Amino acid sequence: MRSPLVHTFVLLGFLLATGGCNESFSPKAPFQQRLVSYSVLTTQSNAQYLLLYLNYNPPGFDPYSVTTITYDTGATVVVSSPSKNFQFHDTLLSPTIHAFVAPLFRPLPGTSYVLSIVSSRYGTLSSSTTMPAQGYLSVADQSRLLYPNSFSDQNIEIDCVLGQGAHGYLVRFFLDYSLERDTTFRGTEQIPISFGQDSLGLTAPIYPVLQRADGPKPIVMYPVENYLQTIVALTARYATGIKPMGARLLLIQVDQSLYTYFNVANGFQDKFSIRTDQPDYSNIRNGLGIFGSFNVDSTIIRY
Amino acid sequence: MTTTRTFPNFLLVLLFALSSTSAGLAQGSDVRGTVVDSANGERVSYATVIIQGLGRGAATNMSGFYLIPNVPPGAYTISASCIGYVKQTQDIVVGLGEPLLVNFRLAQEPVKVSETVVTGTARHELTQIQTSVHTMDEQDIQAVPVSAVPDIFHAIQILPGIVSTSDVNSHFYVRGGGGDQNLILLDGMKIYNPFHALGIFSIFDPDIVRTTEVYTGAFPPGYGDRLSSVVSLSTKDGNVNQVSGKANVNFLSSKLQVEGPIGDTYTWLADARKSFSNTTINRFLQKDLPVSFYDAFFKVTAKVTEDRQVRYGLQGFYSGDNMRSGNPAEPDYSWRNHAVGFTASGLVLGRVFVDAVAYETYFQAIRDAKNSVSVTPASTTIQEVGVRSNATLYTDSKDIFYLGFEMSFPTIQNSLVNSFGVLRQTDDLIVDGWFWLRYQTSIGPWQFDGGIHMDAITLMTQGGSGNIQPRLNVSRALFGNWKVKLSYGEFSQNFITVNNEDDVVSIFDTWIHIPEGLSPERAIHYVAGIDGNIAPELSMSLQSYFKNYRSLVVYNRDKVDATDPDYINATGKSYGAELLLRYSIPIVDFYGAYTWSRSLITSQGITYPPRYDRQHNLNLLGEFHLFDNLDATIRWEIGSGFPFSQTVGYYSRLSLNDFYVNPFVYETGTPYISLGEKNAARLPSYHRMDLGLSYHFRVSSVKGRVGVNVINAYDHRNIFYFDRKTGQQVDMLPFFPSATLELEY
Repeated sequence: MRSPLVHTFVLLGFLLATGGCNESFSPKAPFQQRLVSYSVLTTQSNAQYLLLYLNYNPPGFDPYSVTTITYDTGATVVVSSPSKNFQFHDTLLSPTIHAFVAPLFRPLPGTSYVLSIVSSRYGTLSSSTTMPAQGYLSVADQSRLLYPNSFSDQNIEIDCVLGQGAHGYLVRFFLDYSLERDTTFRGTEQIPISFGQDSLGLTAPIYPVLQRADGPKPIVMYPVENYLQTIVALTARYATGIKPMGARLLLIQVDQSLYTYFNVANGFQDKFSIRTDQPDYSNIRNGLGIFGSFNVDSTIIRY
Repeated sequence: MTTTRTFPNFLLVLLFALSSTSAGLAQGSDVRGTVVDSANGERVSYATVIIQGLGRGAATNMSGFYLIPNVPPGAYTISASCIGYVKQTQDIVVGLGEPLLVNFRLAQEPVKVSETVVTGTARHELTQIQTSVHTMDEQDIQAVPVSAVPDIFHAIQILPGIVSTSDVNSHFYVRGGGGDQNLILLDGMKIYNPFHALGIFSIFDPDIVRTTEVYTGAFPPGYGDRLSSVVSLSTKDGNVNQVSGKANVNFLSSKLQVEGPIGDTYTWLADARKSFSNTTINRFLQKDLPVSFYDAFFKVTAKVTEDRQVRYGLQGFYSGDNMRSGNPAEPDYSWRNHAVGFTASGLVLGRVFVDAVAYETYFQAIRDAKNSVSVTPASTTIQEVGVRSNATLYTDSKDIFYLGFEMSFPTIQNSLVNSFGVLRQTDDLIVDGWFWLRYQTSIGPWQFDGGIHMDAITLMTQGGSGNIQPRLNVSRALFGNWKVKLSYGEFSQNFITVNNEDDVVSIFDTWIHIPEGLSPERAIHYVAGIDGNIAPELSMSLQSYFKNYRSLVVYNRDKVDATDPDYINATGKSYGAELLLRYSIPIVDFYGAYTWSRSLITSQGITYPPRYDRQHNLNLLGEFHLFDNLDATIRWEIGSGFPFSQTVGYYSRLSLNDFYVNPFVYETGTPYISLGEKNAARLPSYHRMDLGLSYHFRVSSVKGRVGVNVINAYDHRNIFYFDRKTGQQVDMLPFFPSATLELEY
């Protein structure tokens, strides 16, 4: 009868002696140094940029305890098109920002580019992007711009034609204006696509956001009322009448990688989501960050 | 989102038809009645009533009611027995025609732990057929070694296949299922979060509970909208003999319970517990426990008729928890529960016994971010009104039909700051409806228990064979008391919890209805088991299971923009084996349960273990009867760690949110935590040993117990919560000595 008791108490003593050894816990895996590369090619500039820096591992868990970015300034950065290679050079853009810059490089619509980064310390990174082909946009009925008061309950229809390779697009609609009391003045104001409320409950303009390219010919509708309200707001701002000079329409088309990164890094652009995670996306092989491209086409309508 | 349907009442017509048919075949009289505890009048569930010499018998149901149909006229001796009670016999004379009412009042006798867990020597009829059911009554709960005070969920966590984590929202996981896949019923009312924080207690004082049924898989028709398990609790009615009370005080909490009769018809019971303040605990024990809790229960029962056992009950239940940090940079949490229900039970239509409950249940969890930089404010509320009814139809043979339905109207309100940084508030009213048909029979050594459970609303709105769910349990007696059992069942679930799957440990889950366009979560259970006695003092139960999750709801990892759904359907599987051993000799009762389990989810081309995949779990407990009235208990549990995704580095991430306006190179990034392979790492293993010493005494009419307990005897740090963004770690209960004084009059 005593045997079970003895055995139990021997086991108990063993467990008490050994069980108290706590395993230290950290959610961190062994840190692996990796390069972070950001480059967004654009047709709206003659110079292209690339940021290249290191990820890090703070001593504790506070990521803000590391306040400086460690750039890799010694890497070789080349972007290649089928016909030409563009060498990027390390440049100090500001006292704290290093960037690789390729001057005199304006990417061509519809062209594929390959990124190659060779770092003697951190290995080789690569990626690719295809600049969306040229797109077009037009206003279906320009009289609504010229005589908006006659169409105040109508919409200004902007017809787009997206180029090959566009996975997302964004239309921006600007009013170029002058002032009645100063005809030499030139201003530009973006027209909101709608109005909402800000966090204080005040009326706030809402501008178009990047949209998924679900078809080759999307149509964007701007209420004429928004156009008129913008004119009213400008009149109030300058305390004088304004003189509309013309409309400028921009069509921004982005490639797949930039579209995906932009949305994923910005909460899927989904205000109705119930998810609370912060996922990541990268198309950089052997690294982090993004290599993407966007093409800007414009239409200008002079009144 | 609102869905409405009218529930068909053809069930009542069918019930009436079946009842009329069976009554028409009668060749004798029915013997029926109730079995109650003589000390307090509480109904005794699953007692066995046998007419000796006739070979006929029945088991009492959850209401303590039994019915032996069509007994030939004659003189008999009838007995009622149940482990924990002294067997009682009566002489009866059965005539032809009117049913004979025979009630039993059984006197209690001590019960030991070896009798608490059911295997081949099961005392309950129910467990003879089902592979995965365990029943425990008050005495069983009291017999399980405790931390500071007895607790229902601590008691059931010694059962094989049940894994505890003490995480707030889902304290236990069953056979590789998620924490939200467990159906908790209190007198038929759904309870959405039955736990107090830090794994100290469940929210149910065991002194209010009469019987607990635990199904760890392949549960029968009658239980739905959950994929893994059912814990069904039946509460006491209150002492019919006299006003009595019970008080308990220990270093963590105090409680008071009083109960008694009002005339011959009514009984009442009131019970309340409250934790001591953190200041008090700190002063006594120098332990900083940032939690406080309370719970309360009341019930009034009216016993209207004796012959048909018609009872009405009104009960209410309330609980609350607060987890508050003194650090303004750390969030506070609070949880609230309540449920109010009206119950009715009794015999109608001759051989039809009906249990019904109309209820309102409420759960709310709030996260107050305070000045935290790593979490955001959030709240989730689920409020549900519903009605549930089950009819038991006794036939001329031993066969029994069950027929029932449940209609409920949950309203779910959530408020959270989503990934986009927007305060997202939802308010959904849903209609949920189920009905079921169940049949039990036996043929020689075989016993069958099966039927169908139907998700009526989904069936009507979406169709689909998956909403008609067949379930079957088969048992065959072998040699001795050995039995082999097989079970099959299909299950679905429309309400789930979601959380940030990237958290190391999540303590804030949000209840949602399955998003539109997605299938309900579905699972098929296959269970096989064998149990019996290896030796008179040693019993064994071995079960294996496989669950095929045909549909689960998980993150849509490919979500890119607002047009993509947040969640998608995935598939999964879990499988495992459970071994349960019990050894009992006069001086010691030993219990050991080992569970090996594996769970995997496959979604969008990758397969990973879910966060509740605990592969090994071992429960050992022993009760040593050192002297008369003096018992020592040891309980030890060890479980391998749960999966999580590791942090593999940090980097300054650019949002590029105005890339088309300004050169991105001038953007100031924000720190971002890179995660490694999903759920590829494991948390440290969980283990904890509790020790206890209890002395029972009686002074005049007062019974008492003095206990000394040590919780977490070797002070192992078991993680309760970890914030990867700040490194804040909250552990479960540390080494905690406690003394308990319990008085009962």
